[in-house]
Order: sequence, then C-alpha cells, then structure tokens
Amino acid sequence: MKRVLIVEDNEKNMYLMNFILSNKNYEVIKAETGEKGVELAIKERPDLILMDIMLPGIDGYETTKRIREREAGGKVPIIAITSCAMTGDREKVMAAGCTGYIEKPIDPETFIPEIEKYL
Amino acid sequence: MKCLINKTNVFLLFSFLLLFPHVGLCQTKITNNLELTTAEKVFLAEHTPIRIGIMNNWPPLNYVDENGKPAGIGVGYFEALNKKLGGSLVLEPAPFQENYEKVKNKQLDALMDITPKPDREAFFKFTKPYLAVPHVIVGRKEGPYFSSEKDLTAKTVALEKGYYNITYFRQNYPEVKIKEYNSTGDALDAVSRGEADAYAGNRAVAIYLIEKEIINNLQLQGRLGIPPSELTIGARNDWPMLVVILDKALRAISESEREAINAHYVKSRYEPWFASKQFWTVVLLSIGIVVLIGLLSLIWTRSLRRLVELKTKELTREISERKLANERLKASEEKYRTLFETANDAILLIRQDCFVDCNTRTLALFGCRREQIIGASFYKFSPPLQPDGRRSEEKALEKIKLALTDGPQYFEWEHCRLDGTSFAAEVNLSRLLLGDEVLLLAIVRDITERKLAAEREMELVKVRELDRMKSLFIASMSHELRTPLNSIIGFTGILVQGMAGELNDEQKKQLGMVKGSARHLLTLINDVIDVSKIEAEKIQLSIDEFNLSDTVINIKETFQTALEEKGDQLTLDIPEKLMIKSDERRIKQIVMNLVSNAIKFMGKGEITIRAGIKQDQVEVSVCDSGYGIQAENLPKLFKQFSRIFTDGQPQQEGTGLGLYLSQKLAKILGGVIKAESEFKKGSIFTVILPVEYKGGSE
Repeated sequence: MKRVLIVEDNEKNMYLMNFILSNKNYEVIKAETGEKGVELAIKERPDLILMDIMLPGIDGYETTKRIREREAGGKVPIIAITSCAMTGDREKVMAAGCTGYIEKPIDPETFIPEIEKYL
Repeated sequence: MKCLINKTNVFLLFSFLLLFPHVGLCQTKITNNLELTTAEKVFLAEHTPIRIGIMNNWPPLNYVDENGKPAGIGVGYFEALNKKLGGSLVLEPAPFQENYEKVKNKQLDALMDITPKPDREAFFKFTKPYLAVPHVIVGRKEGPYFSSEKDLTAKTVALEKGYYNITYFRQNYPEVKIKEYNSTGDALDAVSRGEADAYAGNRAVAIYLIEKEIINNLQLQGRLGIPPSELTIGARNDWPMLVVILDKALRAISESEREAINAHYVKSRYEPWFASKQFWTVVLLSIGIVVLIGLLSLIWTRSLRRLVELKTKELTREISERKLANERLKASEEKYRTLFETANDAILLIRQDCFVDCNTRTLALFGCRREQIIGASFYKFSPPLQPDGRRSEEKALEKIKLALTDGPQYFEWEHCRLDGTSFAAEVNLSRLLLGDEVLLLAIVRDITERKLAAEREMELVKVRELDRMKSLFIASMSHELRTPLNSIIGFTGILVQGMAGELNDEQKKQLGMVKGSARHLLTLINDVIDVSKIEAEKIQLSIDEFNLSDTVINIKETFQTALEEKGDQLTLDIPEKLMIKSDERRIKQIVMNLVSNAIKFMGKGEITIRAGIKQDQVEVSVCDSGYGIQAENLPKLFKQFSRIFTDGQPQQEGTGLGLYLSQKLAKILGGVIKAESEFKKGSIFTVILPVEYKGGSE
C-alpha cells in the first residue's frame, strides 16, 4: 500500500483528498502545517507528498525546501496543489523542489491518474 | 629754455641792425673819395672851427630836442659832413632869422637848410642842394578839398612869417587871403581851429607837426605848383673856398648814407625823442618783450598747436571710441531690449511696490494696455487672497522685503487680470541695481498649463492606482472565492462518480448540473482573475519553444467529453510540426476559449481548427458552422462584459470576459485575434501570433 503525505491546512480539501485517496487504497498521512509536514516527511518517509502552497506559518515552497534539505536517500515526489493558476507559480513551485503540480479545484475523475504519473 | 634765450639774443641784435643801419654804414665810409686840395686843406686848418648855424625849431629838418641837442635831417647831413672834414665844423642852433643876420654880418660862417633865392645871393654863396622837400596844402578833413592853389581862391591861407610862400602867393594868387603866423605850428593850429581854411608849406614839417601835435582834423591835400624847397648850405659870401669844400664833402656823402639819413629822420620825424636812451631802452625793451612775447607766443602757439593736435587726436580717438562704445551700447541695448521684449515670460520692473516698466508679453499675460500696468501697484493684478488664504498685499510686501534683504524669491502667485479672470504664475522676484536706484525685477511665468498638466497627471496616476487597487482587490477576492468552489466541485465530482455510493439517474443529473454551474463559476472567477492581473499589469509570461500542433491536439482531447456529449465534430487541419516560441499556456488558454465558445454558441455543428505559418506569423483559426454573427455586432465582440444576442440563437451562459481576455492575451503575446462571420453560416476566429515572441503590444 502506497503512503501519501498530505500537507494541507484546509479541512475540507484535506477531507476531499483523503476520501479520494483512501477510496483508491492509499494510506494517507495528514499534516496541517508546514512544520508538521517536514517532520512527518522525514519520520514517515511517504511515497508521495501532496503539498498545498498557501499554508499558515511556513508556506509550501519553504516546506518543500526544508524537506529536500533534510531527506536522505532518493527523492520523494512532491506534488504542489496550487490554488491559483498563475504562470509564475509553476516556476516557483519547481524551483522550490517540487516534482509536479496539480491545479485546484481537484477533479476526482482526473486526480488519481495525475498522481499515478509520479508513483 | 637755453635755446630760447640764444634765439632771442640773436633776434634782438638783428632787430638793432635793422633799426640802425646808418651806424654801420657811416662808419665804414668815413673817408671815402673826399680829396681836398692843399689850398683847401690849408683853408680848413686856418678857419677851424667853422661855425654853421641851423634852425632850432623847424622839425623834423632842424631843431633842438628836449635834451638841448640839435637834431633833424639837416643835423644828419652836418654830422656826415663833419666826419668827412675831420671835425672842423661846429654847429650853432638858433632861429632862422637870427642865424640869417649873423651870416650876413660874418658872425657865422654858414647856414644849413637855406633855399637859394635871388634876394639872398647878395649875402650868401650856396652849395648844391642836398635835399628837396615838396610843398603841400593842408586842410581840414571835414572841410573842402584843396587840390591846388586855384581851389584856395577867396580862402584864407595860414603861412609862416618871413617865409617865401607868402611872396609866392601874393605874386601868383593875389585872390588868396593870407594870414601870417609866427611858426608852422601856429599856422597849422589856426587851420585846425578854423581860423584859416588851409596851410601851405613844407610837407615834411607839416606831417611831422600834425602827427606830433595830434591835430586829428587836418589832412594833407593837394601839392603847391612851386618847385620843392631845395635845401642848400649858404656860406658867407667872402668864403667861396668853403662852398667848394662843402660841395666836395656833400658829394662825398654816398647815396646809401643819404638814404640812411633821410630814412632815419623821416621815419622818426615826429618822434623828436627818438635819440634818447630811455626811448631806445623802452623801444628795445618793448621790442624785446614783443619779440619775447612773439617767440613765447610762437612757442606757445606751437606747443598749443601740438597740444591741440594731441588733444584733437585724443578727442578723435575718444570720439571714435565713444562712437564704437555707443554703437556697442546700442547693439547691446538692442540685444537686451529684444531679449526683454521677446521673452515668453512677463518681465516687470518694480519701484517700491509699483510697476515702472514691462515687456510686451506682460500685456498679453495680464490682458491690459501698457498704461494700465505702469504705475499700478503690485497687488492690483492679484486677487484679495492668495490660495493659501493670506492677503495678497501682505504676502506681496513680505516677498518684496525678502527679495531686498535675503536674495531672489521664487514663489507661486495667483494673479488676476483686469477682467477678473485669474491665472497661476510662478514669480521670480529679485533685487536689481539700476544706476543708483534699487529696483525689483519680477519674472512672471504663466503656469496654468503646467498646473493643469500636473493635475491631469496626478489624476491619471490616481486613476491608475485606483484601477490597480481594484484589480488587486478582485484578484485576492477571487482567490478567496475559489477556495470554497474547490470543495463544491471536488465533492460533487465524488458524488457523481458514485465514489460515495450509488446515485439514481435524477440525482446524478442534478448533481451534474451543480458541478456544471460550479465549473462555470470557476471559469468566471478565473477570467476575472486574469483580467485583473492584466489590468494590474501583473501578468507574467513563460516564453519557451514548443510544438503548437501538440498543443492543439491536447486541446481537442480536453474537449473530447464535451464534444461527444453534444455530438459535435471537431476536425484538425494542422501540420505535424509547428514549432513556435511563445507562452504555451496562454496560447492554449486563448484557443480553448475560442473552441469553448464555438461549442457553446454554434448549436449542433462542426468545428475545424486550422494552424499554419505564414511568413513569420503563426495563425490558428477556429471555424464553426453555427449561427454566425451579424456584421453590426462584430466590433462589440472583444469588449469587456459584452454579450451578443443573435437572432434564432438560444441564449447561453457567458461571462462576457472570454473574448476580451483572449484578445488581451493575444496582444500581450504580440499578436491579435480577428473575427470573420457570415450570418447563419458560421464564424472564423483567427489568432495571429509572431512565430517568435518579441514583446507584446499591450
């Protein structure tokens, strides 16, 4: 069973992603803040990380950077979940160390195939 | 100065020689050509001194001067003779009659200046004449003019007692009345007084007396018909040898000696004091002084002339310099006057607080005539209050005071014209020293335009800022609006998919409608965000090389579900490779918008996407077989929030932002979207973009 770490502060989004992933037999690890995300990413070593960008405290970019600094061994795919379809965001996201990105809103129909590209 | 003295001395000596030529001449010819026989020499030796009488009161011929010395022409001859005869003669001055009697009685040996007459020959033996003096008529200047004896008929003539002329008139002109006087002087005096009409007699004597006595009313007139008086020396009749010796001596007097004697005495005939030392001293001194003055004046004149020349030169130079300076001044003045007059700022001169001069621009600026400005006070052309609320008069006086004490003042000022309109001005007020007078120079520039421009600029900046703020606000609001939409779309998606349990068809249909509406709302929000970003100038491009054909294929895939649902056909007419350099995401956004519109508005039909390169431009066109757009509506297509309703076409949901945004994006990428449409046949929307992005037009 693949393990996915979701770093998301919005409860409903967390629930939505958790529901879809659980429905498709993924083990979900939840982190509501960036700091928690970094901690769990190192401790739990998930197969994939879904990273919200707009977070309280340290944002998604910073969280990704810290994970990349501290992780040992192979790179874990980090998929940014961007809420605003901004051109500049894509570059920023990739520059911060993300592997890919999925734009909000999440469409349950296309969400799983998108994720599976990175697993 | 030394040179001057020498010159003067030489000049004086020269003058002296000119005045006394006989001195030199007589001395040199003392003994020339007088040869006496032995008998004659013996005679002279035996009879020395030979006494010769002369008249003592018949000037200028013979007389005794004020010093008691004999003088006159006769004496001149006597002295010349005496020198030739070795000083054997002595002179005895006395009245003529007395001497005459003495010679008759052998008490004198000879008599000078006697005219040979038949009645005298009994007692005298005469030498040859040594002098001839003509006889003239003297009359009064205001009286009749007597040119000859005939004119004297019935007139009274004054004559000297015992003179021959009495006999002459009595014998030849008995009609002439004769009055006898003791001397020539008395006779002339009588004529002068009017006692007699005329005098007739020796010219030399007459001239001498008239001038000496200054008998101003007398003048020489005609000449007497008688021969001139021939003056001879009459010797006692028993001494014929003496006459021979005297004749020899007279002959021995050279012509030049005679001329010298005559000239000397005639020249000074009326100056009996001519021989006196004082006279010569005076004369010499006078001459000296005159010469000195002459020389000095000559030198002075010359130096004066030189000075004048120098001064003239200086003056000429000065005049030309002044002329030049004047011309320069004129040119300069003209230059500054022109500057003053053509300046585009009003320039005013202020004395105290009144205008004393201004240029033409001032008149235009203040909208008045010159005479309305000159003499007017500073605040006549200002409103009572300045924009800062201060009284114009008070503020103006303060500025003037500051300009005088602290240097130039630069401030804005509200001016008003006589017609009450006002204008904003920039005033440069400075102290000006003109001659001794302290004035103020005010340069007034109308800044109405500038202020308006600045205000416009400010407004523009404000509007832009507001616009930016609005766009930022909308962008951030839209973001907040999108977050809940994520849940709505996500969860409806889960439900429609049946992930949360099976739904019946009606439930599926309704949830599908919720999802559709949520998607529409999301598109709307996304478009608003994009428009806001564009307007807030926050759009960022990501330029890269890519294959546009792949992009178009990807777009077709995206719409596949929607097309199948509606039963429409989408055909692609594209080459395999269409490499361009631009922002793929934005181009995709544009084309998707065009395809989405086609699907939405054409009803059931066919869509064709064509793509190709023409020169350095790539064209992507989306053609549909829909209702078409009426020509009059074409210009409205790309307007913000504009919705077009075409006859027969069912109404569709829309944001009114799609084409506006697409056109904006196309322009940002340096291209454009063109719309062609044939009503009821279909529309073609073509995006034309540069193959390589080189900057946008917006």
